[in-house]
Amino acid sequence: MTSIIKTTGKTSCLILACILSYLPLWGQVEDKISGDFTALSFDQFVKQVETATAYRFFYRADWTDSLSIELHVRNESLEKVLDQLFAGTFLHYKILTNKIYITIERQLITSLPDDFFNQGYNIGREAVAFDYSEYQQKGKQKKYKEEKLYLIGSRSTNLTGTATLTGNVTDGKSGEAIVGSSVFIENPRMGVSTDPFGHYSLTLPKGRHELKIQSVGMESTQRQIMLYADGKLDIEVEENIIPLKEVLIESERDVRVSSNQMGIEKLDIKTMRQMPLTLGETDVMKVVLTLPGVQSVGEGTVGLNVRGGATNQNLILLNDAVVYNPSHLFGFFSTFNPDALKSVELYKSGISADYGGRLSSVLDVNSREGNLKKFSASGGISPVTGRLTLEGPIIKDRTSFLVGLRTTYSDWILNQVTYKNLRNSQASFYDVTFNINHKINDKNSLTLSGYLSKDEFRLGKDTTYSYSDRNASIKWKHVFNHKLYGTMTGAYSQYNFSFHSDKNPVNAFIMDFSIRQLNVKADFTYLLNSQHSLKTGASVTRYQLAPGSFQPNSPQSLVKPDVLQSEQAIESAIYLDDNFEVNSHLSLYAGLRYSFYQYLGPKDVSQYASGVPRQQATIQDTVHYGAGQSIANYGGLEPRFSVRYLLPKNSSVKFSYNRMRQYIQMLSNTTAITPVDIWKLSDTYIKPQYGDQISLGFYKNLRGNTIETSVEAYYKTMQNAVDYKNGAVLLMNHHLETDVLNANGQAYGIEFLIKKTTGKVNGWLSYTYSRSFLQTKGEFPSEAINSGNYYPSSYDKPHAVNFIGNYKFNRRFNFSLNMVYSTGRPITFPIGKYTIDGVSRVFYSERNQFRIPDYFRIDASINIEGNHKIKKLAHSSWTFAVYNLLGRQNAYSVFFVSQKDIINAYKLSVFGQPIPTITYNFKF
Amino acid sequence: MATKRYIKFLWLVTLILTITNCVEPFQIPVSKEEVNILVVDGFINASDNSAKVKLSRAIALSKKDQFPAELKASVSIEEENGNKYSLSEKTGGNYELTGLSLNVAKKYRLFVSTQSGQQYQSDPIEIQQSPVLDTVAWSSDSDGVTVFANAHDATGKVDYYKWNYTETWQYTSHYGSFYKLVKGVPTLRTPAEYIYTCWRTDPSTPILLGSTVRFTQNVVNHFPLTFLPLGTIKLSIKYSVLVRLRGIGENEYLYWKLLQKTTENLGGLFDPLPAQVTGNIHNSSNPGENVLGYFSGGYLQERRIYISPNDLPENLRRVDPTFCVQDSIPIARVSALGNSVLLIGSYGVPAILGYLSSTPTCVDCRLAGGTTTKPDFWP
Repeated sequence: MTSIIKTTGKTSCLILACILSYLPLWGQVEDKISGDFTALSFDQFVKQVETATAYRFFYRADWTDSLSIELHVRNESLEKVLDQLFAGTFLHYKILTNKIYITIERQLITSLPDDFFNQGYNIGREAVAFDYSEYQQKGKQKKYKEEKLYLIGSRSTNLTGTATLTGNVTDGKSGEAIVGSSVFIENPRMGVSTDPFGHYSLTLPKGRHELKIQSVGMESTQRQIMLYADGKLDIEVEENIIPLKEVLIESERDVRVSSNQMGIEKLDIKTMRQMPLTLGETDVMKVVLTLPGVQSVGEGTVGLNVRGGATNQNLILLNDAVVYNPSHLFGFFSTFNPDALKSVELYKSGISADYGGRLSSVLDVNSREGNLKKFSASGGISPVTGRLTLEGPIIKDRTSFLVGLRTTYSDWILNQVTYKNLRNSQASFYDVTFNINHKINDKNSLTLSGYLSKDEFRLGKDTTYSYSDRNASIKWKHVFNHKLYGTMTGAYSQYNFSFHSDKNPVNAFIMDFSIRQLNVKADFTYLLNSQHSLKTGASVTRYQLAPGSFQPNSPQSLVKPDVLQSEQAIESAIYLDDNFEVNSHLSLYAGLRYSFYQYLGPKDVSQYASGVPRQQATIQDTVHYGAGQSIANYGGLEPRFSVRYLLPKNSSVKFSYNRMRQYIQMLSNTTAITPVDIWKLSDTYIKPQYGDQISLGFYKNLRGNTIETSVEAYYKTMQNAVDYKNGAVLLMNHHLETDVLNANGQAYGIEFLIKKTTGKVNGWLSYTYSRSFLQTKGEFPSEAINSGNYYPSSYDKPHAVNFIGNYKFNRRFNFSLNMVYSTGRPITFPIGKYTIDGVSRVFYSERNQFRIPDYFRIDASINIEGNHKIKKLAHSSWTFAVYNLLGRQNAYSVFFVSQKDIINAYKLSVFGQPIPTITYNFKF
Repeated sequence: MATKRYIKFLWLVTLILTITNCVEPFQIPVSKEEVNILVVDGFINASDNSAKVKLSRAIALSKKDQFPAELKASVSIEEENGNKYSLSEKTGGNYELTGLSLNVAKKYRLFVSTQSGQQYQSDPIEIQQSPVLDTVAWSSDSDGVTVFANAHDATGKVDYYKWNYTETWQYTSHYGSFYKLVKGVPTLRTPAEYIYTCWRTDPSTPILLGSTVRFTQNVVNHFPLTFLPLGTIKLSIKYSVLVRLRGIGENEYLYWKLLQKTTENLGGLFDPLPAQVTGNIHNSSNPGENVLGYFSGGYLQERRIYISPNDLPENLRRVDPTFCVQDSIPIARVSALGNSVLLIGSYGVPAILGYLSSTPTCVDCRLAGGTTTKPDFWP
């Protein structure tokens, strides 16, 4: 007999308990149980037991449907059998004679308190151990979910062939989608990563599987599934209970070995938070700089040089919109508010076909989605900045928002400073990040993101600089069916800078530059079968540049207005790629992208005399192109390919090749990128850049995937990189083509990485040997740089060692150490001196023939978490960090100044002393 | 108070602008490269129809020697489709010519033939018109005095301005010396031997350039030439500056601008990449050879002003104190002193008991770079 108790909830259980407690106690039936119960549902098990014994079960079917029974018992008492069965679940039982009551969460109490009828005596009854604690609850819930067998598709006996499982991976606490989470089975090895919406789609052989889910910063979990046909399984994962179990780069474990991709670094915000801070803030760009293969020309600059590429060859995306200048305050901060971020991915090689437009790398930054379940706020205060992030549901479980604000009070600090040159200086910035997510239904979801950053600074009394990035993007995701889904993205980016001087009204001027780009793209993913997963898409980008305007800035000003002609272009691309799991060892990726670029009128284009270097003096004619008329067309294929072969003992080899094309470049003839560097579209004379990279890697995980090791080697070439004639003037230049040269580049290197992901001590150590060279032959001998020979680029730093270590004293104290070593960057030193006009001057060597001293720095930080009470108003933490602990005066540059008849050499260091910071972070 | 200062210091450190504190001298690496490049510094002065060319050689940075002059070269100037004028060699690599009959409508070219037989020539240059140097004046704020100039060009032909100046200032040493030691005997100095008052003359070091290309009128307004900080000895007695201006062509402007960028305006975060700066002179047979310097021609405009402490606002009438103490030397020990000891005066009345002395820099004004000879123009 099977009966169902038609009550639900805890209260009813208690009432039941009360009623039952009055029942007389009958002696229990002492039936022993024997038998092999294999792959039985609880119902089936009950039937068998009820047939064999006098026992009768009372329970709710939906409480027990997750149980899958695997028991082999010989003459055991039922209690023992049930104990075994319910261990680790929420289920409890009580046997009253031959009746077995199954309850959830609490046990039935079948006796009255001992002295129920002698209340005056007040003898307490031993309490039944209820697990009230949230952690224990969570643990049990997790176990419950992990052991429950989920039936996918309608039950059938036909278990041949494959079926597709789709669903979303979300954060169980906030409802936020988890991006880049690996969903896989181990035997045979098959898996996918979740897309930016947390969506996954995985084609597996039908049958029983243990589905594993691993994602950065979240607890790893698993689901038992019985795959009968195509179906859906949403998975909620729990945050790694920070601060209790915070670890550096949890998970992504065997992903490094098993994934198809190579040359990709994924960081989540929690990893970044643990690193020692520069100026009291977690800084995405600074963290990225600690990764192998990433360099910058010096500290205090945000320009990234990825695998020997120039700083303008990185595609920096924030929620799919391009960020042109990711720096605040001359480059001491990055413009990404750490509280609003979710993840950062850096693609150094093996860039898939859906990305394009830059030569060296893609830095894909994603902001968090707001909490879908409750309102919360977080923020922090450091000596230079303050930040606040608010988030919460608009419609619970469907729509959420997140707004992050960050600003500085450095203006106030500057006013406190008595140093003369600074007293009249100003520096301020702010940024705003917002995000709205709306889940229309199971098949459609919508994300709206916006971003605004603004900087303004003035050094001394003179020129005021300001620059601003504005982005917005909208993304619509539609799931057509289990095998096909697509996203439509529209993104707008705008960057502009301006500087003005009003000190002398007669000379007062204002100079402006702006670039706008509008991008629309559609991407589709189609899961053909368990072996092939196809992606295709198309995108169109329209660029609009106002390359410069120079205007008077006071009524008395004699400045002559000068406006450069606007530039416009359209870049389109289509792509198709296929991820092909050939067998359990071999997997291939092949993609093809075709990009096409048109430089459009209206514009006047100068024609130069042939056979002589382009100069203003050699302009022969000017051709006018009307609006929309095509001035120059470029285009070409961009093949992408990679292969992975799994070797025994948790290791793999990978190879990849990719070609990239770039149609817009930043022009900068300073060592570090500056806020007033202009961007230039490829035109008749300045050809688009393109580059090829091949890379080969070996990956091996040791000690149960807790230690990852890898070696990656690469070789790349770049054509049409930009170089400059000596003394090139880039701002307000009507004839940029007379100052810009096309260069070729080549770079190669090898990167070693060893990483311990878990444990009390964790961190990584990397060593990179890399070289990067440029060659500028020019069309004429007079244009050649360094006689047309290859010369080291300004970011050619052959040896680089990075160490990042964390030591967890206990759950509240965490100590981090960061060590950075690199060869000094190349620099042009004077080799000779001479006198002219009565003053000694220096004469420089050929470009980049010397090096500044090597760079070495140690940073340390201590994180102290507040107490671990679960229910309190705010969770807070303190971070004490010292940047440049040794106070080493690392050279940023070495420069020479002529003073009368003496030439003096000086070394400039940016952070020449230890810089302590204290940051207070809170979350409630 | 100390804590507050410390906090302020911390703020400063925490701020970006620690940069200013972190510039320190650096040992120049020794280059193995041999440097022996011809330097040509030539100018046709249309104001007095003269031409001056100085030839020298660049040397390795590590060398301490003087710059070697290029001697026994033959130097000439050639008018476009016209006459050729030879310059005569003076001392120290200077070649000069006076009494040129210039045709400002024509272009000129410089030819140099060195002793070693190398032939050099300049690009043809134009004699540049000069703008008008309207005024040289100064303004002050609490930090010091700025000397500036105003100029304009009515012809509309001059877009680029090159300035330089020569500063002269009168100053004294801390103590006057009335005696000199002659073989151990204190002897009264004659007025000609006084080393108390000096005049120092310095040329300008920075390259000073102006451009009116971006302006609606060819006017240079308030062009700052030099800054005299509060407390400078230059303004202790009398200061004078002679400002020179000439108009230059675009190519010459670009040359000086690049030289300025690569040898002066360095040391920031966003420095330009240093580059080899070569001018308009080339080896006739080897265009790849580097030749330094520039050959140009034009008119010079000059103006001199004086500044006395009395002209300054009260808060600027202050000279940084020098640290000097007097030392008394009893008369018995004076005879043992060498001639280099400088005596200020005697002490002891009526009989001289000894002499007062101090460190040479406190007594001899010449050690601060000047001479005791009053310049001719000094009022």
